[in-house]
Amino acid sequence: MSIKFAEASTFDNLVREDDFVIVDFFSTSCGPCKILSTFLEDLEAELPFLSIVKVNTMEAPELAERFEIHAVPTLFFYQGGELKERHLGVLDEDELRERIERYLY
Amino acid sequence: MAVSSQVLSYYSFEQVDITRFRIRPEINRQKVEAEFSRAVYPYITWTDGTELYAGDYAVLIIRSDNPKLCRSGLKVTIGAGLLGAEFEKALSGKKVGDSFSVLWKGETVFVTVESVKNRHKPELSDDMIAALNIPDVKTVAAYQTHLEKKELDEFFFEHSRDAVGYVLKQVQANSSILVTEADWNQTVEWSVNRLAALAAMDGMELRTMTPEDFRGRIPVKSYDELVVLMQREAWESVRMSLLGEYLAKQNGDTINADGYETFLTEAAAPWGRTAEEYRKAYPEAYYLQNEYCDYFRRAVTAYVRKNYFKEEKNEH
Repeated sequence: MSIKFAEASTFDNLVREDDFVIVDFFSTSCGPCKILSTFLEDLEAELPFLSIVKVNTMEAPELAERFEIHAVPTLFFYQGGELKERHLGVLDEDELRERIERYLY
Repeated sequence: MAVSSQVLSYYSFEQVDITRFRIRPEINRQKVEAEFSRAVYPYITWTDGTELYAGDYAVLIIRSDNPKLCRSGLKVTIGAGLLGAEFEKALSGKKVGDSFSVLWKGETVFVTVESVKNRHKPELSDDMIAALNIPDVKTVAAYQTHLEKKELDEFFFEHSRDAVGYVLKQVQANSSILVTEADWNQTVEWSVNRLAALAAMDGMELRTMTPEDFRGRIPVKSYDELVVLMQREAWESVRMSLLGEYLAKQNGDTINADGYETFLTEAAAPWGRTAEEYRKAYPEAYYLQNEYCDYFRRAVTAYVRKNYFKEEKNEH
C-alpha cells in the first residue's frame, strides 16, 4: 500500500485498509519527525506492502485534537482496524521492525 | 539621562586562537551510502515474477495444525529478517507454486508460495539527482560532494561545542559590556514567563511545581532554584544579544522580527497549540533579543568552522 497522507475525512478508512497499519503524526518543522520519516521511507522501500499513514498535524489539527496529540512525532500501530499501541517520540529502525514482526507476523 | 545597556569595548572572536581544539575530519561513509540509496527509492519497481531472490517479496499461504499460525496472503520480503533466518533461507530460490515445510515460531508449518514480486532497483543516475531539486546539485558526483559536506557539517556540529563555547567565553571576558539592571530583570521575567506558559500547557503551575514535576524537564528542584538559573542565563543572554547587535551594526546587517509570526506558528505546533497561545510565552521583544544572540553565535560558529579542521597531511 505504501505511504499515504490522511485527512480527517480519510483517516478512518485508511487505518482499516490493511490488517496492520502504522500511523505517523508529524509536523514539517519538527526535526525528530524528519528522522522518523527517513526510517519509514527505508522500510517502505524494502517492504512495499507495508501500510503507512502520515498525518500532518498542522494541516489536520482536527485529527490531532481527536487523538489528543500534544507532541510529535507520535506513532500509532493499528491491527485489524484497532489501535493496539501509541508511542510518543522517534522509534529507530530496529524498534520499528520489532513492531512489524509483532503485529504483522 | 538614562543609561542603556551597551558594548563599551569589543574583543573580536577572530582574535581567539582555537588551535588546541582543531581535529581531523571524519566522514561517515555508511550514512553517505544510505543517502545515495534513498535517492533511488522513487525509481524502485516491483513486477510479477516466478522465482524469489534476495530483496523480492512473496505472498504465502501457511498451514499448520495450530490455527494461530495459519495465514493466507502473508507478504514477506526475502532478506528483511522479519520471519527468522531459517524461514527466509527456506524461501530463497523458491518458485510460484512451490511448497515446503519449515520451523516457524517453534512449530512446523507448511508453506506454499502463492505469488512473487521481483524488485528492480536501478543504478543512481544524474537525472535522479536533478529531480531532487537541490540547488547547484545536478549530477551524481555533485551529490556525493554535497552529502560529504553535509556529513562534515554534522561532524563539526557534534564535536565543536567546546570550541564554540570557548570562543564565546573569551569574547565576553575580554569585551566591556554594560548591562542595566532593568534589562537584566526584563530578560529574567521573559524567561520565567515563557517557562510558566509552557508548564501551563502541560497542565502545571510553575510556582508550585515539586522536585518530581521538574525532573526530566528542567534541572532544578524548586521555583526559587529556577529563578536563580534564569538570572544566570539572562545575564549571558543580554550580554550575547548586545554583542550580536554590535556586530550586526558593524557588519551592516539588519536584524528584525520579520520571522516572528512564522516562529510562533512553528514553535506552537509540536505542543498542539496555536501561534496566539504561544505569543504570551514569547513576546516579540524576547524573540528579537534571541535573534541577536543567534546572530552572534552563528558568526562565532562560522569562524570556528572555518578554522576547525586539520587538513594538511603533516598537521598533527
